[in-house]
Amino acid sequence: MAIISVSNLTYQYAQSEAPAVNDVTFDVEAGDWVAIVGHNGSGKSTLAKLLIGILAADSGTIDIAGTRLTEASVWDVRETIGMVFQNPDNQFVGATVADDVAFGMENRHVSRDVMIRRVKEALLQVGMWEFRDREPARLSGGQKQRVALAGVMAVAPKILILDEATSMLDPEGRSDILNTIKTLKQKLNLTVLSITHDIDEAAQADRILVIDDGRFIEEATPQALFEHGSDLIAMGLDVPFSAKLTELLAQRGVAVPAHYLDEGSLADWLWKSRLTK
Amino acid sequence: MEISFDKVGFWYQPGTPFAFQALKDVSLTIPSGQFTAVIGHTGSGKSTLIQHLNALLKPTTGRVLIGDRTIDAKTSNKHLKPLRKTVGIVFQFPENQLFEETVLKDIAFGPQNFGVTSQAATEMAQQAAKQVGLADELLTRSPFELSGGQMRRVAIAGVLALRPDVLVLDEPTAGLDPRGRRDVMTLVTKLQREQQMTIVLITHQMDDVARYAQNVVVMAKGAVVKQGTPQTVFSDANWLADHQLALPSAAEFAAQLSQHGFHFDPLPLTEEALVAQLAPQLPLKGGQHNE
Repeated sequence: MAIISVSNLTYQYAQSEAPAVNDVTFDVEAGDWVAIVGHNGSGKSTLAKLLIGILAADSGTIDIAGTRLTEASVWDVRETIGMVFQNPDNQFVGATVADDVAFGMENRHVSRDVMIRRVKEALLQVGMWEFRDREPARLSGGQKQRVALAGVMAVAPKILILDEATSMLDPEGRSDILNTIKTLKQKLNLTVLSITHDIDEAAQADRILVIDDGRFIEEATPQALFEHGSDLIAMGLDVPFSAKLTELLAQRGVAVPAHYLDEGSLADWLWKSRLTK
Repeated sequence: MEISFDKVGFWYQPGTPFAFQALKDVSLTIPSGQFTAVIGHTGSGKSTLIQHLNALLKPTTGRVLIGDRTIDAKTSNKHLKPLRKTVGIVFQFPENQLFEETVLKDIAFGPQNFGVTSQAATEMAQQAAKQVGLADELLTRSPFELSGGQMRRVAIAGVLALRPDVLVLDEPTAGLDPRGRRDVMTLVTKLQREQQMTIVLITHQMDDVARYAQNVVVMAKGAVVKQGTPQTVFSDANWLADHQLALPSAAEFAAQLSQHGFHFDPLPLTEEALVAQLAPQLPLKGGQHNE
């Protein structure tokens, strides 16, 4: 059974002329990694806010782990979802890293013994245990996002939503947090929904949903979607380096692979091709 | 306008237990009319460096030459205001500083602060809005109704409205989608090429450094550890790895291909340069030979 089931969801902001999310329907199976992509203003973030009940839909339904999202059930539903937001600086409350991770559990009246154990587990999971007594403000962007992730993991969610969680990080911080999430997902069989315009983050997904003007316009595997080459820009994604290179080589009349290959496979293909010259 | 640093040292909170040296013996030149990129790890002193470019910070030791002005520890805080107009700084996430009721008023706020009449400020704002490609119908909207990319452009226009000679940008594309990133970089290069504006860009995007910069300054632990053209700076992969800096994607891929018998000289830094050297080493489509 799908862990997230969204059907005919529509939401329009009071001042605007068109719905930000327009009749959207999709399912996510437990343990899947699904990326939602779209350019700035396409409706991605509105969709995320609807999923965790920060906004209430005008029409349509959301079922999370078998529970229909309503005003009455919103607190229960949020128990199953952890969300990491875009700006690491906007989500810290604790004076130390450990305090910050404990905050979500304090809200849930978890006992002190359990809390201490889970703070340690969560910080170990994201590789930030040695920073437990540090001030969150003094960490690098990537470290801050790992602490935010630990705070989420401490309450053991089934679903992890990443709302452009890597977009403010430098390339190193970005790969750092993505690797951590990948490991956690495998270990805990998490369902991951990542809202992103980062090509490397999208490439991690089992499938990608493309949203434009509040509607889903395409659903594909990363492999299939990256075949679009320069059209990916309009979808809010960058063109993968290997696709750019293939396009430029083809323009010079060079023999190129028929389908999208990632960098490693393209390098293999090219050196084999060279041997036939 | 040229800016140069002569043995600049800078301490935060000097003489206190929290004293911290953020710049160490920094000497460098930012050539007039050129595009200079400043790269380095988080905490390497990049942001402290750029605040010296218009005397928001004054060196603790050494001096900074900004055009014909000399700034050192003894420089009075009076009469620094003209420098803030000549050297405009766009800080990180500048859209956080938007505050006015309309886009136009927000952009005109800077010139008005420098004593320009309200009408002239409005005209300067309109021109700056055009430069950054903001459509006229957006000018009467609240800046808070705009998308992230549009807000970023409003903030940049606010600095451009002062008509600076030098434009300094601290990670201007962070948090934007790929289209927004490309728009901002196109705008910045256009200002440099068409108006000979001096550009200083702090960035983590090595592909942008390779594509747009003429000079690169590499900072580490408060010191300048390398200065030169992108070709010079990116030529030593081991040195870069030691300083936790990445190669541009094209150079990285070329290095990978070199291990499989391909040959590149010089190391290509952009996709175009890579393809120019790579194509002759590959067979043509349909099995023809490429000689």
